[in-house]
Amino acid sequence: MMLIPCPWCGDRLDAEFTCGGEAHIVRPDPATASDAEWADYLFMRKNPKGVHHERWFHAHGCRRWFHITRDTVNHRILAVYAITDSAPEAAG
Amino acid sequence: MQSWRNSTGGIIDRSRHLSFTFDGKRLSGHPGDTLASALLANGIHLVGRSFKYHRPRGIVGSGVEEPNALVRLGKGGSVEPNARATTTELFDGLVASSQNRWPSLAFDVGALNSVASGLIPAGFYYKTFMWPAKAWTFYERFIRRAAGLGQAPEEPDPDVYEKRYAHCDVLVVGAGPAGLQAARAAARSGARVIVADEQAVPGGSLLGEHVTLDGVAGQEWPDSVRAELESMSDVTLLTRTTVVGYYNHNFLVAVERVTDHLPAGESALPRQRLWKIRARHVVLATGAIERPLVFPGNDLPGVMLASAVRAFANRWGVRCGARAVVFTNNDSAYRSAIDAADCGIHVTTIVDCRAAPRGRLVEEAHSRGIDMMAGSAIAGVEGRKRVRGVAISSLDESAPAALRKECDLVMMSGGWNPTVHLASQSGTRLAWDESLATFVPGDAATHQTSAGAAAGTFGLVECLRSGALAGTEAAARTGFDGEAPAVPEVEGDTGDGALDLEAFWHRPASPRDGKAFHDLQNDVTTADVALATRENYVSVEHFKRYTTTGMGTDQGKTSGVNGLAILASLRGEAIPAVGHTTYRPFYTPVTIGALAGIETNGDLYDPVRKTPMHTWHEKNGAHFEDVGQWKRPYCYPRAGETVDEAVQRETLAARTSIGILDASTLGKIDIQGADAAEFLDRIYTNMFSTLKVGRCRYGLMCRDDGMVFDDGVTARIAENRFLMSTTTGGASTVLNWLEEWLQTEWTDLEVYCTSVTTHWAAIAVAGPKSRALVSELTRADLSAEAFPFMAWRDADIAGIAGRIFRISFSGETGFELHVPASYGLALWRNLMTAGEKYGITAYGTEAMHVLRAEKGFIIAGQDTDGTTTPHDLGMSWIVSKKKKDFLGMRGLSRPDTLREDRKQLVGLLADDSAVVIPEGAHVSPQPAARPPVPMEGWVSSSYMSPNCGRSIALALVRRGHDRIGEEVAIPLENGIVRARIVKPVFFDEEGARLRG
Amino acid sequence: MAEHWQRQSPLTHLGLSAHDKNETSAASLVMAELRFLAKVTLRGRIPGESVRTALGVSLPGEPNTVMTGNNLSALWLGPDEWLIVGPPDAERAMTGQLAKALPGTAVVDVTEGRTTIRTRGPMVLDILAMGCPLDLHPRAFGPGRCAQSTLGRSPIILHQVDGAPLFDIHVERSQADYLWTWLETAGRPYGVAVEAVTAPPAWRRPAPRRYPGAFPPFAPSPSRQPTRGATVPARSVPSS
Repeated sequence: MMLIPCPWCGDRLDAEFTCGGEAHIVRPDPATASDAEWADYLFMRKNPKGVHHERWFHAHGCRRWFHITRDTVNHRILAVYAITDSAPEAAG
Repeated sequence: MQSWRNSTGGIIDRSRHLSFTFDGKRLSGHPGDTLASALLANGIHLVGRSFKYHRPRGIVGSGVEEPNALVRLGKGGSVEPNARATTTELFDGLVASSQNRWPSLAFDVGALNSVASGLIPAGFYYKTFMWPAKAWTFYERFIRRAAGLGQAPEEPDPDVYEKRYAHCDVLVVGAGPAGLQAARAAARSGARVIVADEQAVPGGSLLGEHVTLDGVAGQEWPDSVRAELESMSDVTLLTRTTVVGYYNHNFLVAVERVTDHLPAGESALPRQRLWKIRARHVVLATGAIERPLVFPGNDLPGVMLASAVRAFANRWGVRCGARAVVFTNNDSAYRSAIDAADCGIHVTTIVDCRAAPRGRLVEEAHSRGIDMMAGSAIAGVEGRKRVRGVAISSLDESAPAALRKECDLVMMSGGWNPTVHLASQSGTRLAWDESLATFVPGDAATHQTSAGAAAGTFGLVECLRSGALAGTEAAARTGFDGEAPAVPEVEGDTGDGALDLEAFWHRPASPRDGKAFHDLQNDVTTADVALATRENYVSVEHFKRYTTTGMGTDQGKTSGVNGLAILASLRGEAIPAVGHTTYRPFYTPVTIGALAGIETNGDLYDPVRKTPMHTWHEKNGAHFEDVGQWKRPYCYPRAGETVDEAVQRETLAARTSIGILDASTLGKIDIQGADAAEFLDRIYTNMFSTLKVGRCRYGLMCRDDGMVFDDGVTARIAENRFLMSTTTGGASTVLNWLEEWLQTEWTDLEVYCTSVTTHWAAIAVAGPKSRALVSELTRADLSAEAFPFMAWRDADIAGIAGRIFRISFSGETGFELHVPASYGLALWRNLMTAGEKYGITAYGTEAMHVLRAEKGFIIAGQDTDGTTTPHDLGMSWIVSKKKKDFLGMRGLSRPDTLREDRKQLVGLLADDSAVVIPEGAHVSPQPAARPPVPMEGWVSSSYMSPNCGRSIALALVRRGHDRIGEEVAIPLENGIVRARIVKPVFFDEEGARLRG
Repeated sequence: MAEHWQRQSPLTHLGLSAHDKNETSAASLVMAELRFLAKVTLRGRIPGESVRTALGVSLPGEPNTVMTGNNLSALWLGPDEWLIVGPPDAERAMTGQLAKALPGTAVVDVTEGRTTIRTRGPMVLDILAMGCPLDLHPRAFGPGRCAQSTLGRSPIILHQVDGAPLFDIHVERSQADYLWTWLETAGRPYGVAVEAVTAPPAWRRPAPRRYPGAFPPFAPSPSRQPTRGATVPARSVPSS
């Protein structure tokens, strides 16, 4: 029921999208990563009450990935930014 | 005989008579009536039995707030249970019946519950049916019979439903005085406006009042606004439409009752239409609901909301009784009393909790000779199926004993609750308003404005003004500026909306005074609240569930605030400190049909995907199976043949002559770009950059945790171009997976992926005669030397430009032919004709499964379960040791994936070769231990193999690779199957046929 | 053997041509299948001019818009992805021409992957709204606009061809039957008519020398309305 602001297509119904979960997870270098680091990368995700940076994919639209910053309490979308960009400071 | 109907007054058409039945009794009403107003006009108050105690119940309200008068409408598959009589429009031929009674409404056996009511307090079921655990199945039968209200129809629903999306700048919920003004303001600004109102005609409270606006009767004024709104192209006025849910980002759901008010078969239009509305700004002009008072006996038929009696009088010309006593704590009931008196009801007494009520309305009531009893309350109600009188006592404890008044109608008013349901659903917090003694919307959580009575603003002029402002502001917020429409000149309503209310929640009473209900629909009394408090269910959310206050279709409309207030007083706290429960969708019940829309039609429930050869499969008796959304032939039984026999025949044919399979559903992805080879090296566990143009390679894909998730053959089309195939079910998942890595991680790679799954029709031709057949249709040299295993080439096949792949999933010499999809059927037919002399046999997915299982080829998703690595499958050969990185590489060296006791793929041969072990069966050690039997794995694939002459199975078994030759047991429902672990290949282990 | 050569659209089995004599003037929804339209996807960082030179149609830069020219429509599908739709049998010439003009660009013939359902009629907006979450109101959409979304439960590419309004729905071949039935069912209470289906063209290899000259004119028979000019309307959606 959410309206997701695709940076290319504008506001679209969330049913057109797939949520890719927490953003900015860094894939460690497989040559040097410890078992614990690799497990952390694979399995551990934040589940905050409040501001959350997340990845979305416009699966039934332009098929682009992008980032949004969303407040998980009231679903307010605080920022939309490119998939290659880091989280905006202002949006927490 | 509508003996309780006045000859004038109201907005009904007395010139026409509508005939309807209630519990089989033929009655009549007029166009404009609801079922409730028609029943009351016929003098019928008793309309149902209560939920738990089966007490007689009558009509309480005049609209959506009605907690009691829930009836069953229609017959057969069109039956609708729990319809509110007060919102059901009357039509000729309407069939209604009462619920929750047996054998009849007047004599109901279930009413014995009422006698035994001391035994079934709140939480009765939780406490009683707990022990012993085994008795649950016994209890359940009784609980099921007692549970729920109404009866669902058993036949299929013959009606058509529809749902649709809609978008607007401003959505106005409610077309009462505030809503109409808001709509007018927003519409005039040029904004796109949707107005939704639950009633058949706009007007809301105006329809039940005697006022004039700008000189026009209040009951007619809405028509002029309607005409104005309907003249504007970007305004949609929806009547008979209830907004039932308010979701994220101003997404609201409404149900329009399109033809519910018409006799069956009169219209081809859908019965109901579900609106899914995205609004940039929402004006909530949902009005207010009068609050009942809680006093002993307040559930007897004849006890009604004062405003309802007024509405029945003014809108429908119906007298709800002959002699009325009014019980109130505020001024609004005085207006109701005056209108009731004007309608011909003898209002004898107004019982007012307040010590010294005063003001114009009080004086007017007094001047009509109505008795006033200030500082008093109703202490009890007499009567069995209808009110016969009330006992009134002073709130001053020292005053003399109760006074008895004869009456057949009690009009009660405990104040007004703004209809805050939608605001609360949207996340807007509610604030306590002390002067109104109720909750009003606090700061809006989203782009939303509450207006009129919904915002706690009472008084007609104030509501009209509030609506105009809200509409103007809403439009402005969406970029449309306009001036607020003028507030019409109002005559007749001189109140300023002040209720001068003094909260009155309940009065401690002894059980012998009778039950005092704060929730009529769920039969919850003040005693239940006290019990919940004693048992420490004091959090509002716990309290609600323990006592069931506000549940069912009521959703707190009449019960909410009273329940909370009584809880607060018993807890000795202020109401805001106790708080309120969160309102949730739906505001009123929604039929399942409306939610399903046209998808109730079986063909439309989910897309059915068909291959280009589908019609051939149908004509040739294919027995289909669903693979994802695809319909794939499972097998093609001939006349007199069972499904199993067909599978055996097809499986055998592919190894003895020629089998032909429709493989069009396999995913196909065109991968291009300068870095395509490098990309595939990272995606697959094995190497693809070394693949030569003109050749194919089988590849395995892992997630980054090292677990297998898809597989398939990829061909190198050109230096920088590949064609990847995926499993049927994995096609879109894999494409999305590739895009994800390209866009989010490896943004430096220049690679483009395009789905061509449905562009190509694919036909697998397998078997010893396959080369001979395909060679007849193409000039290409298909000899083993010129066109070896795992080669591909462009070719004209039967004159169609396509591709031939020398690949095989059956283990036979095989070719996969790709042609543009629209020629797929032509090629298929051509092959069938040309192959006739070889005994060509079309085979389905099951034969394909048997063939590949004979060879021990896995199916990702069947022989893997998301915790299976390539090593577990015995496919270490496909995991590159040369590559520096690929998805899953690091995951494969995690301690968990290196465990030696992992489940590994093995073959299983049952001792009895005729036994096919069920897939999914557990594998346990031999000899079978006493229960609990240790589970060491499970059977993933299992078939009768005609080529091996016995049953075969694949299984994932703990440490399986080291246990070849070991005996195991498969415990089944009706005995134990003994089996031996073997290598997972049963046929042509060397692969001579494949390469030949 | 002649029937084996029949090129079959995914809706052939519905026998649509048998229905196309229905009265369309009273229908609220008029549907037709446009068979075998040539479809080519183009991916990469592509200078728009190069495509205009190669095919005679420019690539739209504005998201979700369409450029038309030389009987071709170029639909924006993504920031580096376009779908070029042309008359039946043009796909080979189009892919050949593009591959030559744009080396290193991904050019994929996807002609066979989808078919096209053309819809029009007084209630077309209402009926599309029954299954498509897009806002197709003239203030938010319009001629020359396109979008990828869903209709019913099928993914679609929607192209508003003109202001009548007329919409071309490009749907996956395998789901065409479902979507056709879905549209017919949705429109049934209001009246649906089927229009003549374009006759399946003969399979022939187009002469390469004809390009980049004009493509054979494509006059879709159902509406007899020409494809709109190449102008892309400015977005009139108030930014929210």
